Amino acid sequence: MTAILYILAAVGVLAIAYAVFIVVDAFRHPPMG
Amino acid sequence: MGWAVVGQIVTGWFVIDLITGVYHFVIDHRKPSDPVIGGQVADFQEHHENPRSMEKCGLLARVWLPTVMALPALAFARYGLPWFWWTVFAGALVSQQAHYWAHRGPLAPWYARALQQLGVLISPDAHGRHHGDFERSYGVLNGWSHGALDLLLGRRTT
Repeated sequence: MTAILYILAAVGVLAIAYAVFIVVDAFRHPPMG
Repeated sequence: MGWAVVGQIVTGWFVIDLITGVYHFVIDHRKPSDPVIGGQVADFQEHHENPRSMEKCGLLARVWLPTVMALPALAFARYGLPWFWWTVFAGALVSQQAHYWAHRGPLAPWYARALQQLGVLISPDAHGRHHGDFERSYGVLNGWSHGALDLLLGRRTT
């Protein structure tokens, strides 16, 4: 159970880090498409 | 229903327009080669070229992904402000459908057009501003957050 919580926490941290990255990175480019 | 509940619902309806608007900004500015959200990036950017491309997919396709992405909101509904979090979840669930109806114009169902006129859902005019240059008015649910979104994310080169 504890291991599952650690894995979920790690996935959550990665997801938040990725979300922050793509928001910040979006400011560096003009709209595409 | 007390005023506190009404306040939670109205605030939730605004906040989810803001959140989906930020996400819309992100997918408008990323490349379709993105390993995580590339599929949505490609779909949205195709939609810019051809706004009717949304008609290719059905209701379920427009609803399932925002629903999955909003599931964490339900975890918060167990703790304070449950109406706020349920409204955030519901708003995410229907956000792409509201966007679709904004593109259907007079072909949208009567109840959708009524909600657009009431300002509960985004109107064709409010969303049309986004399709002018794709650099403003990123809201897809109701457009209530356009002022804040334009201030934060709007065109920065003029």
